[in-house]
Amino acid sequence: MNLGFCNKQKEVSAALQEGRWPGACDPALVAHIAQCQDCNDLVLVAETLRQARSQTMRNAELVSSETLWWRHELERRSGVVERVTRPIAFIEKLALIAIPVVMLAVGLWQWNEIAAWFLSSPDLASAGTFRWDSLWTLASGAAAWVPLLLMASLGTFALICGVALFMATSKD
Amino acid sequence: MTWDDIISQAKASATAQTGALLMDEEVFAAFYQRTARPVWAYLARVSGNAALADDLLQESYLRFLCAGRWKNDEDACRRYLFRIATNLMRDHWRRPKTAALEDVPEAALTTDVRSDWDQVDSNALLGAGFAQLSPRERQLLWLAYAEGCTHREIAQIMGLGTTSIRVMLFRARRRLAHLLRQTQTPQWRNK
Repeated sequence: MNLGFCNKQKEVSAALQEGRWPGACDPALVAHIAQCQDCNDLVLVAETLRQARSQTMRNAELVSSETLWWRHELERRSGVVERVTRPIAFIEKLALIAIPVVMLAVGLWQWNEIAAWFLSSPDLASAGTFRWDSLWTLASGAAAWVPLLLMASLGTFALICGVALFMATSKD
Repeated sequence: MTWDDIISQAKASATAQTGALLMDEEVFAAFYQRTARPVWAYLARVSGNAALADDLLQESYLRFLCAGRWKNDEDACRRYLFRIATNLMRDHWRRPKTAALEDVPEAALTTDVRSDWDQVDSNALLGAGFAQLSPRERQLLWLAYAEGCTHREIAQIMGLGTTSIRVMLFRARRRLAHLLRQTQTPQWRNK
């Protein structure tokens, strides 16, 4: 392909950009364009694209600037809120990990007392019978605080996890 | 201290950290008024899809606002806006299309590019010729001849080398001229 650029192209481009084509153009330049393939291509393409641009711009239906500004402010605010609450979210995640770990540690530490507490009731010790009031008897004992604390913590933790899971999976 | 106070302080500190010169709503509205139509025309013509142009136009301005690179030089801001729009188009074309056929509305299944332009360009000035060019060629030609950008500005917008713009533009122009002559009226058939 011949890439010998015509030396009149700058002049032709200037005439097109200034809107002098074709009426206010130098007749010699007009004659040159009729003869030169490159300049002819330039005029054809430039004029066609300019007309297409004008027509496309006229027909554009655009969203208002207020809408865009509002969206920008909303996104900016969301970003700021997310940054400000990041430490809180971190602590929440840490707590969710730490609570079961602490419960497990306390359970292991007091395992002997817990096992003894469960086996202290004759109803719970025998596999054949179980009564709810035997739990009440156990709970009123002096050594009941650790297993009660663990059970209450476990129950609360299970409730919080359930609520968190529900909120995370629910579709608004 | 209320929640709004905390958010305001966080916004102010974020602005100070980035050193961004933010624009207010009035300045943005005036800038949008002057630049939105040319940007939309560029997106619509190069992508061949008016609906896509609507989405990309909004995204371009939002990214422009988030970047916070407003300067007193409107030409520089305009070029930056066109650069964002160009990159968004490129990202759109690179994105894999994974929508199931059942999810696509029937109207979107048309294969006639020009039918999308019935509302925009009833004369179909460019016709099918422009659509036959590659996306890069369409971008080059539109920026050079519709927007009147210099080679350096085109290179900045498209992320190409300045020295290669001239040759690429020459080839694209010749190709489009040939395609237009195949469809244009006889007054253009000089060669």
